[in-house]
Amino acid sequence: MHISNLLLWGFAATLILTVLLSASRPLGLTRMDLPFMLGTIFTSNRNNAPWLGFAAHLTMGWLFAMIYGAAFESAGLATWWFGAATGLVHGAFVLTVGLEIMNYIHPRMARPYQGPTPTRQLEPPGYLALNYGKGTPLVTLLGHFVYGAVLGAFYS
Amino acid sequence: MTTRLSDYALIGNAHAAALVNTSGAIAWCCLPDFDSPGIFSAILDKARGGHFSISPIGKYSSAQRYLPDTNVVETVFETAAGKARLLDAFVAQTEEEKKRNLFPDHELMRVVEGISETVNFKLEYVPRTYYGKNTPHLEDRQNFGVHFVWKEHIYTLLSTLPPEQLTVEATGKATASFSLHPGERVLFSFSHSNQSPAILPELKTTGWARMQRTISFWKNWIGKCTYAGLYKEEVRRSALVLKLLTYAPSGAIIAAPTTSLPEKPGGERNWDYRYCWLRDASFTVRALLKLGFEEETHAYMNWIMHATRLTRPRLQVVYSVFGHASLPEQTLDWLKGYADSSPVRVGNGADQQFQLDVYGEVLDAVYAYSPLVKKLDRDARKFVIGLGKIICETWDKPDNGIWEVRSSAVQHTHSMVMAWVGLDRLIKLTEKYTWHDAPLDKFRKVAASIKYKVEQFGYNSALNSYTHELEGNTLDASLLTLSLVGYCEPTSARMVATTKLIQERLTENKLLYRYLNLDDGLEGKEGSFGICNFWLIENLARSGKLEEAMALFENIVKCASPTGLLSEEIDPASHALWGNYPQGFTHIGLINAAYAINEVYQQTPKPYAYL
Repeated sequence: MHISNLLLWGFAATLILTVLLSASRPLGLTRMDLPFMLGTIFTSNRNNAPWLGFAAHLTMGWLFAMIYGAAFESAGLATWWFGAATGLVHGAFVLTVGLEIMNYIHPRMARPYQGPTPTRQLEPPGYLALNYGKGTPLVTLLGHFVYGAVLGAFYS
Repeated sequence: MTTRLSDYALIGNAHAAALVNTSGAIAWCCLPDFDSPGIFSAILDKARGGHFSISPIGKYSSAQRYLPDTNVVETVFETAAGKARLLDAFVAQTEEEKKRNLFPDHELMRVVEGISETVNFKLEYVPRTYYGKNTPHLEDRQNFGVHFVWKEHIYTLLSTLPPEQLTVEATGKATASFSLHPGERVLFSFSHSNQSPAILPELKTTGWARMQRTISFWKNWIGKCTYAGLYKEEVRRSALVLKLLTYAPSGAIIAAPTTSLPEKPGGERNWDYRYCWLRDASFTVRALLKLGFEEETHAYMNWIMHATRLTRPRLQVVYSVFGHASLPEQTLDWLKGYADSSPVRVGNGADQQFQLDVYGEVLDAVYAYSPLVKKLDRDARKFVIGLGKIICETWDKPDNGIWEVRSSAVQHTHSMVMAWVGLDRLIKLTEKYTWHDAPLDKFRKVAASIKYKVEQFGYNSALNSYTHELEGNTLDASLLTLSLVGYCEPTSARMVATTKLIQERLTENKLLYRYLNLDDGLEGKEGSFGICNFWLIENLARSGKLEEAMALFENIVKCASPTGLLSEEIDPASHALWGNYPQGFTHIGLINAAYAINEVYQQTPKPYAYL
């Protein structure tokens, strides 16, 4: 595996994914604020949550880049479309399983069958994160599609 | 029947505000900012605007007050069966508390408490987006409350009632009925978040503690007020109102939290006041300093420096809380308006006007603020010197004047005096900070020319008074500020004569109009203008007529709502409050007038009110 490539392009792809998700909020496609959601895992301080969340997202972006790299090596295929297809699977996983798990491991997220509690006050994502806006599944899939395409295109 | 303005009280969190009336209805609330579109706008159209009401079922009487030294409103309801109270407030927390807990962008909390016997209540939650134009789709999320979204905004109603007790209708309305026994308490929380996951405040365990923290927050804040003289309660209430009109993120202070509450019911004098007028700068800074609120003064002056960047070196009459210079005016045709007063306007066309006096107002504010700063930085210095240069170029040009008359521009005496004030303060600042790049001689020369012109043409010897415009023969209550800004002494012959004539000719039923018989291009006659009364009171107090000043002060204070709030105008006949409500400028006038009265009362008069 080309670790230096994965570190560099994993960073770039995560940045692009973050920008796409952020830009789709003012466009009305989704209300999901990923850095905020991830950051509140670590702190209830609203000033600190966004940058902590961004750091966590970047770290996860790097970790997933390693998995993508392993997939490219294993398939002997590193093209933008293979990366994009992997990204779609990744996005679908995030929507169906990832956010569902997040609901249970996030220390500040309320659970579907339990109202807000003194410690759990964040709105849960619901099925396919639709609670965060009807366009959330589309934006999440698109973001991960681009993430995978960037990694596939530049991994060599 | 239209609810009187005096039956409303203001709640807020220095970002947004709401009006709650004695019937337990929130009839005005814009979120997330003061100038955001209304979510509850029933004050402008009962049927269409949207409201959130909690009131007893059947007949009842009610009375409203603020809990002492707070911005928490208590409405006590009394029915034939029993008594209960409703507490309303936006949750307020200190910065330290915010670090420890998650909190939504805004949380408006309503607490209903049984006092005696059993009282049956009904709740109606009818939000309407964009000032009543759209009906939102309310989604019943059971434990997660009643939820709706508009653009990126998420609004949630939570309660301590069992979720099945709330009925959500397809017409965008949620209702509930509940009974309260003595000592029982039901909490409601209306919250706003602009991101997902939205923060859903917990109510059952921590809700009441948040309300208590809000009460403590306000008590601690007003505890910093150093004023301890006459009319202390009125002054402290005015300070609390000013804090609610402050936009905390920028330090701006808006004129009023409402739009289009008419200056004359049924008329067209309906304006949007949810913006910041530089006209208010000088009086505001001085009021804040007198009360000991240095932090708020710093924030306000920082906002002025920041907001005016886009239009420098020229100043605009009005800016948004973020310093936006363009505030396009539009009418909301689907709203009937308060007491059928249309049109309902949002935005403010005054942003296009030229008001010479704002240069003087801002320079006087900088001068009043200067004892708090050792040195003005380079940028601020260039800014204030630039203002002086603009005054030198424009002082003899016609302007729209302090009252923003839309029909025509003339050479207003008040504007010219404020131009003189601007140069006078700039000369003093230059001398204080020994600036070498200020054209001091030019400033002195122009200041002398302005004074000459005002004395020659702004004073009508036949009338024995300063006049509304140069070579004019009409009166204008803004002339009462001439002595208050140090242009002349309140005891000077010309000022005493002007004060006397204004009082004689512009007063009706002991209340003062800002002008009469002046074509301002609008239909109908407006009411008595709140702050002008306080200017008159200051002049009387400082010219040896203390008893008369105190009588007038007490007279106008009687016109305030039971919660102590004053609007822009008062109807001299009925003493009803008119215009946007509550108005910061009027409360600033109250603070300054009380201070002047107290100063004279304590026999420590100063030569000028403001020097």
